[in-house]
Amino acid sequence: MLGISGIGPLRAGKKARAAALALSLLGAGTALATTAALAEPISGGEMTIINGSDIKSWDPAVTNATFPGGPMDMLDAVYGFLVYLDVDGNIQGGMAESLTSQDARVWTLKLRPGITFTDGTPYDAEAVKFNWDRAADPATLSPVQAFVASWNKGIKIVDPLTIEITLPDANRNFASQIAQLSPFVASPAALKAAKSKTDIKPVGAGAFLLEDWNQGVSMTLKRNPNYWDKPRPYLDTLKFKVIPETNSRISTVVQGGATMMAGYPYQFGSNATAPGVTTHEIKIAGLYRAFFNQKSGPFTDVRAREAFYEAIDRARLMQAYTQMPGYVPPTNYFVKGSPYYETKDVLPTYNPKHAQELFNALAKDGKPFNMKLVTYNNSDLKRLAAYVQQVLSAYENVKVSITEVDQAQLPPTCKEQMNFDLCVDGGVLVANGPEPMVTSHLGTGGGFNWGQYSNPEMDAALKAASTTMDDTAVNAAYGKVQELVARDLPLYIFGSETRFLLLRDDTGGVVPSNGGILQKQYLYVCKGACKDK
Amino acid sequence: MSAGALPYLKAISTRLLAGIPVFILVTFAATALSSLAPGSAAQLILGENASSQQIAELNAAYGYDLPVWERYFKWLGGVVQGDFGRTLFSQQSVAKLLVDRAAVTFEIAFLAMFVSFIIAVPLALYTASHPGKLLDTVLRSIASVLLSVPTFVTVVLLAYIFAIVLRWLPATGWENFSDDPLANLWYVTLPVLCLAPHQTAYLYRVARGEFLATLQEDFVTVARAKGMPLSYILLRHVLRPSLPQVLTVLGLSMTYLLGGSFIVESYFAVPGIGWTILSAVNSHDFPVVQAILSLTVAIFVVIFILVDLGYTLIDPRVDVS
Repeated sequence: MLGISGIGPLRAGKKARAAALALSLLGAGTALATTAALAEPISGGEMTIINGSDIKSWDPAVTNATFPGGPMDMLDAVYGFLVYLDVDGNIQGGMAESLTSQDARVWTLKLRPGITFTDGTPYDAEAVKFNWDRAADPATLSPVQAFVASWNKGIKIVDPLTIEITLPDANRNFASQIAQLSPFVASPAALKAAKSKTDIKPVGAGAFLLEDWNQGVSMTLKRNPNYWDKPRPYLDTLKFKVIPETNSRISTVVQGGATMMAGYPYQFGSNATAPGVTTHEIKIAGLYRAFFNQKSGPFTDVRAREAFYEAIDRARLMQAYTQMPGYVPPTNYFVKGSPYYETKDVLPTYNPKHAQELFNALAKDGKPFNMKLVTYNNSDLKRLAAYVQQVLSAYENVKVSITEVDQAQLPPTCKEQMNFDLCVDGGVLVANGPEPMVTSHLGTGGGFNWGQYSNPEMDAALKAASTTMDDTAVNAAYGKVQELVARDLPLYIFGSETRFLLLRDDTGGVVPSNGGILQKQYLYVCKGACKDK
Repeated sequence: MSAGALPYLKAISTRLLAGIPVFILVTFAATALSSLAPGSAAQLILGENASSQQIAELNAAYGYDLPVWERYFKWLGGVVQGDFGRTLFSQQSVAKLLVDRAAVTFEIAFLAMFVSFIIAVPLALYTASHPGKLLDTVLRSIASVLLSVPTFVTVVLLAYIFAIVLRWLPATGWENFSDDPLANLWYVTLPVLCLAPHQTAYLYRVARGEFLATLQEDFVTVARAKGMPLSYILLRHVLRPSLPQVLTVLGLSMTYLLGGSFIVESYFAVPGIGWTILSAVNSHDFPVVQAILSLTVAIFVVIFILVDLGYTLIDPRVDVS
């Protein structure tokens, strides 16, 4: 059987690809192999992960934000991922043994025998189908309703541990999409018993059980004694603490009041070298991107998009944004190291002279470059917006206005009302695997296609990349995607990014998944500083 | 009931009745403003990929699509029956949450007030009786500096010194007194230290001024002429008549301390009402916002009643009515 994995851009060369394929064939075994290289785990102890905010609901169908500290991070502790993407973009077995396909159209989910939810009910095919059907039901109001509803009619229970999913069209990225969009399964009994979303009790089969939740303050989870993957989890207790203030989060880790937090080196500063503290980089091949409005305003003309790229030195823009020097702007949509990276099809580089010529040409054609930059009131984004405004004000025939909205108001303002010319949400396009993010950003009607870019050629290329099993054809299709990105400039890609944890140096078993969320069953406390994380 | 208690009861009733319009105004304004706030609870629950239709449906399910007045009277009806509702996300009883969180804030505020009082009043008494001396000049200068430093600066500075550099006190966290008194003391110290300096300086300046004025009174001159010891004069003839003004400042200082608690609690991740209302506003958890505003109004009304009654207890010449 051929294992179909989320194809990670970080893999390099055929050898690496073959190795990754072999890993995906092994299913769950690979997850164990990942940790085999780690220092000897020790059972017991507790860890505290600090987040900036708390979850709003235990609804497994209402998940978003695959970053560390996001809602999925906490839900994972109780529910566990069915399957997940490892740091190389390969699918690994989690609560499920494997999710594989031979033709990318018919997928087989193999569950592990003997797993039960913490309420004693079986974690079986019926439970998985119930969760997916529930997510597909519009009444559940799941943000991934459209995705799940597009294939849940094709679910067939083969036996209690096997589900066969026949997709309407071939999709080689299906497993990757499940990992990132619909990975959690809760006890159907608990879901049925809940009167509302907020009434859902967290009954899963993951590594930990919720013991206490002081919402908005802290959460205490205890080891699940019946966890399937013994002797994991190693920790007796896992805590989440909510500390909204970044400096307070850092101080708490430095002082030893908590184990780890997610953030960026410019936030850590000299605290990253404090005694007892270390940092851990999670490579995600992320791209900082902003959205050009393709339906109205100056950016409907590709010359305006090109001029915008050329008018601003993106390295300096990133320096203004992150307050750290040394950024090298991405040259292409697929970054170096990705199997889809091509040296041709580069994004426009800093060229102020040509930018001015383009601005002048636009003005001459009656299309003055008057742009409205929309972002939300965050200090980093304010700096970025101010930098854009300041740099562009040096050009003739250019006007830039800035509108700051409440963070919660940004998606309605940009995505639904399209009340922007350039919308900057500060988000990172995570590209551990190209999908589902590439289609979400570039495909017609994609969830993150806030600028409403639409090009049949792009749609065809994305579809070709998803439906073929032939690696050469996939490379060709993504080559076309990169070419179209460089030609159409649908997004403003201004920086590449990776993620970091600030953590105590006795933190062992750091196994990131899905772009940064730690697999908590592997975490353990070392005696003294860990030699290998 | 004795006839002497009647004026007090009347005074309390009058002030409580006067508080009702304030309560209604504040809580209704909060309901109205919640409609103007950008975003919605449904948006936060459903995430940024949710469509307008999904958000509208969830808002309807929670009753947030009702007119402002209808929502307000629904809420008010519950409050009259002692039901503040349930938190939007965790479905906890708001009343219980409020009691838990208010206990934390009051502990910090009262300790800060206590620390301020025991430092400021003796120093003010002493320097008022020795005006123009070096200590008086130095303390007045320090008080001016402390008054000009906002709480958010004090918080960052003291947290850096005591939590990061010296590592004597925890950077964040909280433990309830009932669970572990020693740990509670450990966690409460830094928040109290951050709130107390401004308060101490303010109280010191007011108290010193009051004591100075009282020291000019004839009865103090007579006491001095009689050869009474200075300490006796200060405690017996200066402190007591000056206390009503100091009490007023203490009462008003609660308002400052509650305001300051928003910053302190947020920075030190202390689960008091300051932090709770900040996170409730961010997450559009309006039952919690409404309940905290109600509590705040109630606190202010009670504080002012206590201050008024305190006047008459300390100085019988003041008419309670």
